[in-house]
Amino acid sequence: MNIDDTLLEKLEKLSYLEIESSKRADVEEELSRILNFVENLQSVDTAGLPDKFIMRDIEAHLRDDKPLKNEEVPNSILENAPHREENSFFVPKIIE
Amino acid sequence: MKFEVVIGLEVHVQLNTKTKLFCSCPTSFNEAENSNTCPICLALPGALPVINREAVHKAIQLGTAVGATVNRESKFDRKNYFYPDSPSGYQISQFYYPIVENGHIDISSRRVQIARAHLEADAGKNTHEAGGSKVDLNRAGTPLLEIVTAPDMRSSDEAIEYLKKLHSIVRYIDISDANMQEGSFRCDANVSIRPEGDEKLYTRVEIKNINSFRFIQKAIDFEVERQIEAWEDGVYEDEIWQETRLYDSAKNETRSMRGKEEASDYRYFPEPDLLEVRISEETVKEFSKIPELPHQKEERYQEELGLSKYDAGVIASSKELASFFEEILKSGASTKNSVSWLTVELLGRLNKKSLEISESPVNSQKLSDLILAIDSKTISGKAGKDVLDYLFENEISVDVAIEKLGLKQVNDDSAILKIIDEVLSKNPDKLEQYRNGKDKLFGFFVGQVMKASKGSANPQKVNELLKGKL
Repeated sequence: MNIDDTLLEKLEKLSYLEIESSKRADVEEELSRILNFVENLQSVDTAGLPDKFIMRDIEAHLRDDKPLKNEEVPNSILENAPHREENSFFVPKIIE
Repeated sequence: MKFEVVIGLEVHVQLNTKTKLFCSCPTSFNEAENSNTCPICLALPGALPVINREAVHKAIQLGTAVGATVNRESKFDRKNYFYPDSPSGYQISQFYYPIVENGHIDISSRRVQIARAHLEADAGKNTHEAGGSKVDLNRAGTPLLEIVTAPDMRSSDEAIEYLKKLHSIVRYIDISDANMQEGSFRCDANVSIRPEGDEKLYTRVEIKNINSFRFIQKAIDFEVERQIEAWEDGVYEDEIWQETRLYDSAKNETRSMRGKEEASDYRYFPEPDLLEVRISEETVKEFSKIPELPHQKEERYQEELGLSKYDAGVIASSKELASFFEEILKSGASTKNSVSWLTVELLGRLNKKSLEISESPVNSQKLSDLILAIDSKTISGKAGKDVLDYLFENEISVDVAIEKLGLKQVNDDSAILKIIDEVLSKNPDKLEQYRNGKDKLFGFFVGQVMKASKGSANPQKVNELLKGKL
């Protein structure tokens, strides 16, 4: 599968990213290469396998509903945030 | 042309577990911003989700309550979108294999099919300010159960009836506090129209962000009008497309959230960090034991207690009201008086003050005492209303209130006869007229006796004794 300009534009919208025009050709080529690599998976014969197939027949472990709180963790994460306002993360305006 | 309205509803119920869906952070409300977070709900690289057992149990309970299939195997998927309320860039939800499928809730005009109910993680909260947005991720990862109906409802009234029933059910089985203002019971409505008789489904518009029953009804009604107008003006194809619109309660209108070309694309795929959820038969059995549901209570009240369908429906509609009612009955109060004093007198006064039954200044104990006093004719029904008013303003017992207001009913024959004699001797002319055949004056005498007793005389007794005297 190849990424062309139309598809790249759609991806930019979905990801809220803007790719500079000088880099577009490179990004398109790189993304196409990644997708083509992933396409190798198509060579595996999956006929007859249920779509819930997993490699090992095990189920999810469920956790007890017991609260744990360690405020040092969010504090240290907030300290590393590029922008914060008091206890909140602060991000560029998202509603026009 | 006549149109038919087609409505499907998606309700997000915030489950009242102690911890989040995929991590052990508390779900407590009103905490300092971001204090209920950890590497998992902040989506730091390498942090792995672990499913909360209690959320699975609550999903089983809901499934049971709406007569649905609880899938013994279900899976989680990623719903991808970019917005700062979700640090991972995706929401973990159940798209392909939900935990609950094929249930229903009966409303008065039809059966509403519940297509599915699935578990998913809630997003955080953004507060928009000049220059940017504040992000609080305390709510990120809180367990939600999204309950989705088939497009089965045909009017906003039906939609509201369904929502009220669902709201009452989730509170009865105690899987959520379902507080609409605080966002723990949120509704999105999918609305479309079609010419009457047409079987095809036309373009549906999703209305988001509606936080009260009244606004949901208004939002649906506005949207139906908008679509019908577009059809009648011949611009349906141009103006109505599949999109999400926001309801603005201040302007009473729905507004487009994004342009036509920018349709959302969530690119669902299986969540690779979580294995399949398998529920054993024992677990299904254990959590299928749920309390009596609103419609079952409603039926029982009619069959066992002889309540009218209307009264039974009013009382059973809320868990708090029903248990209030049952406590009154336990005290030995008569069913008839219990129903009217609860639904007419108490609820009427609470509505006037915009209070919920849980906030009532008169608790079930006091209302029982009051009803028992009326049942035993200690006070009259009329006096009971004064006592109830007094109890709303004063924190005292029913006995003390009756005493203070001097409303104890006089049942003693000799005391009433004494008043009757006084009234008759004061009105010799009227007595004369009555004896000459003016029967209508009987009411006048009853009124005078009641007045002289300051309303405390038992009116039945007054009638009886007065008849004898005249």
